[in-house]
Amino acid sequence: MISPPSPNALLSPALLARLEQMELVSRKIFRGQMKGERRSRRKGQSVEFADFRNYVPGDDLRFIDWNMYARLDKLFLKLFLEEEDLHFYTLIDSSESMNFGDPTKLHYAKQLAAALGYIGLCRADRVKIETMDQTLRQRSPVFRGRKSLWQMMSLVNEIETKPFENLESAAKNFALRNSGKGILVLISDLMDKSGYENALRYLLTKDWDIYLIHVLSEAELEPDLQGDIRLIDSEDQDATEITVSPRLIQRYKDTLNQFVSSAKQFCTRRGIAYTLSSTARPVDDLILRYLRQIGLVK
Amino acid sequence: MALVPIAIVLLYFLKLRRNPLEVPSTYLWKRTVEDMHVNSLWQRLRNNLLLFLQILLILFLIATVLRPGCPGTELEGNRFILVVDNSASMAATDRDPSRLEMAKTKAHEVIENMQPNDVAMLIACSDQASIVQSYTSDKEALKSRLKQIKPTNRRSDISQALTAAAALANPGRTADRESESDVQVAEPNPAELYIFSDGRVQRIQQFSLGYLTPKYVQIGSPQPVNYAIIDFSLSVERVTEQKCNAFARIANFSSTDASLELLLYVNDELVDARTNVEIRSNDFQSLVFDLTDVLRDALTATTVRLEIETKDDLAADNIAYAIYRAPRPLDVLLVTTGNPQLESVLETGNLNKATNLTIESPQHLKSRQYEIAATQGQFDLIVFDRCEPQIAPESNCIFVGQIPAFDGWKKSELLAPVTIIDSAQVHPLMNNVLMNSVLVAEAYSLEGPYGTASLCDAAFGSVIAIGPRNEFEDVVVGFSIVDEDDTGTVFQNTDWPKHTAFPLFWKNAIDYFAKRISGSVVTGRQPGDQVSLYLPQSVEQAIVTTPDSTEIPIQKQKSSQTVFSRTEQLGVYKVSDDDELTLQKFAINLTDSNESNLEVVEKLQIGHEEFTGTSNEIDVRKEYWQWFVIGAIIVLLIEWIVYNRRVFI
Repeated sequence: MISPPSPNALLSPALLARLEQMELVSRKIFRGQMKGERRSRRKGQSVEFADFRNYVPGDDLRFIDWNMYARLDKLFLKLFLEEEDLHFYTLIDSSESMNFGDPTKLHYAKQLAAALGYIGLCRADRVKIETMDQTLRQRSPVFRGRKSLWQMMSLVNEIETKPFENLESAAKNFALRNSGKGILVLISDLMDKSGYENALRYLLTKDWDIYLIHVLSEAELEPDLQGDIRLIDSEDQDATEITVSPRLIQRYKDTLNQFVSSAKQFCTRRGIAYTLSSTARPVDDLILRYLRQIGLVK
Repeated sequence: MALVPIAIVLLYFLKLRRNPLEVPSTYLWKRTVEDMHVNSLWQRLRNNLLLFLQILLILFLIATVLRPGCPGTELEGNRFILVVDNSASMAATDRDPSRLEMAKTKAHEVIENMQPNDVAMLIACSDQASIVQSYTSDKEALKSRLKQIKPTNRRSDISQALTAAAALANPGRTADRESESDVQVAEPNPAELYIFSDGRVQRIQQFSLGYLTPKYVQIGSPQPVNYAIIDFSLSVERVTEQKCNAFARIANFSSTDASLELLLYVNDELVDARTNVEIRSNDFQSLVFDLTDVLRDALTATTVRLEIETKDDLAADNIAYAIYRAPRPLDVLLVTTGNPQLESVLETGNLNKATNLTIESPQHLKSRQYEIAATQGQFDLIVFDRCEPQIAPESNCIFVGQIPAFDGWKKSELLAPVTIIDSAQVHPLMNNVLMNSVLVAEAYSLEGPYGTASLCDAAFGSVIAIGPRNEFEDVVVGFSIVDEDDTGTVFQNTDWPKHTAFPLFWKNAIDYFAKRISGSVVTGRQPGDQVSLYLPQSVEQAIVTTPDSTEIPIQKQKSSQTVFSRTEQLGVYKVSDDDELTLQKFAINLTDSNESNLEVVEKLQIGHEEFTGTSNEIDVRKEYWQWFVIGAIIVLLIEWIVYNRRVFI
């Protein structure tokens, strides 16, 4: 018998225990398809009073507010907030560039996706985890409730790097595949020579609450290179020859900072929450501190 | 040098060995690094303009240092013409070891300072110019030829050297003056003309320097000391008392008075000496030595030598030679129809002793005997009295009452009256011959060939003259002594025979022609002069032995006279036949005041321009641009090394 994958491979038990206490927070209140534990704007049946409206023959007499009738001699119907579920999407950059670092950026992204997905499952949110290499017709299953934990973990564990065209086409396909509103967490290193801007624009068309977690390896943030090197791009095999010098490293860092700054600025202007994280930072630290600060979890 | 650009290319392409390293993405690196797309050699070359420019610069610099060039007809760079004076005065030892060596040292400096593009020509100059080395940039060749320049005993005349130098430097000067179409044979090539000399040269007049820039380098000390024999001759009075005297003129070419010691040798035997001969500074002293008794019994050619024993800066002019030849009777032919007075003066007295007289009639001139005698020069002197030969004889002639039909003598009519107004007393023929009171009835006015000198003038012109004819001289007396009228009556045309001038004239004539033939008088034979040798009829070839005992064979050139020109050495030359019989001796002496005066000339005059000499270091321009070019190449190489250590920005 094949034992189900253990969530402990990606997430530690301690982290799991803490994640159960957390919930995903959306800056926007979205209408879910099923009743979950989210407060919805739609007025339905729940214990929490929301509003009055005039009685109309045919309404349920149980919800007539008799106190208001006694005072005003008119019939009014009580309205209550209906509890709904949250759509939570995770889109993982599965390009070859994510396969670097120690731990690899992809592993880091899988840990993050599993952790956030676990929070969502615990709160009966609709969790969907997809990768950028998926084509338009390749749909991932939707996980809901704790019973789907193992399936979700299994899916996440099986994620591997696969080549795809570029961020823009991947984002476009994702946007076309998924119509439901909710939270989208995009985990990527944004290392696409054709740029990330159009990809994010495609995602913005869906009015999702987008969180961009920009993952970079420690080697990318603080390159430890020496001598004369011929750099080979892992994705397109493009080569760049350099002679490492302190000046070159400094210029690289300046370029990196500029890159990060421009990405942050782009996101901020468009209402995308941006977070830069190194793979050297523990996932629980990222979730419990930084993601909480930006309001993704509480 | 050729390896430098190769080294740069190798440095550029081979030096960097890069280790490959796979990275997530070169996206950010590309934005940092500007050196892109180095996948192939040609792409590097295409994209690296800096490499090309630096290689090109290196190639230009290397080419500059290597002095590229090719054979051409036009010279570039500076041109130098070095004229080294090797005349007699340059042998003076007032500069150690000699003036000539000092001149060669100075010329050596100029050669040494030549730049790679410069060319130089070397000319040795005395009274002849000799191009020792034609234009070349080969310093070693110039130095080698410079060493070969030897001193001579010749006089100084740089006009030939200037002509040779100007021929190349100045345009429009034809090489053939006779040709009207040969103009501007050479393009102008300006040149710097260095003249290394003491300046004791003949003044050069009417010379245009044109593109020549002369620089006169003085050679010599400020106060040289030299004593010289500037004249030495023997005078033999054969007709009278057979007296023989040696005349000498001594000069003191120094800035202080001198007391000299002189010694006189006859055939290397000391016969006379003069001590304490006082000569003031820059002054002369004449001396006479009586050699009558010493040379009385001399039968063969005798060498007389005068020496200045006092040491000075130039030894060549301290010795002079003269050759004494025992007098022999002059072979004289008198052709006359009858002239008792003339015959009498030649047959009597001392003239008779001095001559072997033969008297013939004019008909003799048509004889075969005369023809042979005339063409072979059997007579030393022929006197034609009122007649003339059909062909000019190989002898000196005296024409009395007849203008010869030789080239240059113009016929004229007999003129009368004849009033003699003057006679040339300075000429040896007219010495003490007073013609003023001589009466002449009629006479020809004489006009001879170029070089004719009038010995006696009448109111209408010359009546006695002497003119040259090849190696001979002809004396023409324009009036007859006796004549015949149409009836055959003999009449006296002049009372000249009644005057003492008549026998004196003939005595002077015999003496004059006797000295001329015997060569017993040495005057003015300088090194380089041509000497006429009188070879007997029977001698076809002879041997000339020079003072250093070199034997030079010569062939008889014409009749009894042959010209010998290899007279560079000072001393006595001996002419002998195949049987080693001495035929003749002659002496070559340095008796030129200009050469003996060693005072260095301050300014050299060439044409209308004067050039002040310099005795200091010769101003040359040293250029160091080659070192700067090499420095630039080194800097460029260092730049490449440093540059390649960095990232290509």
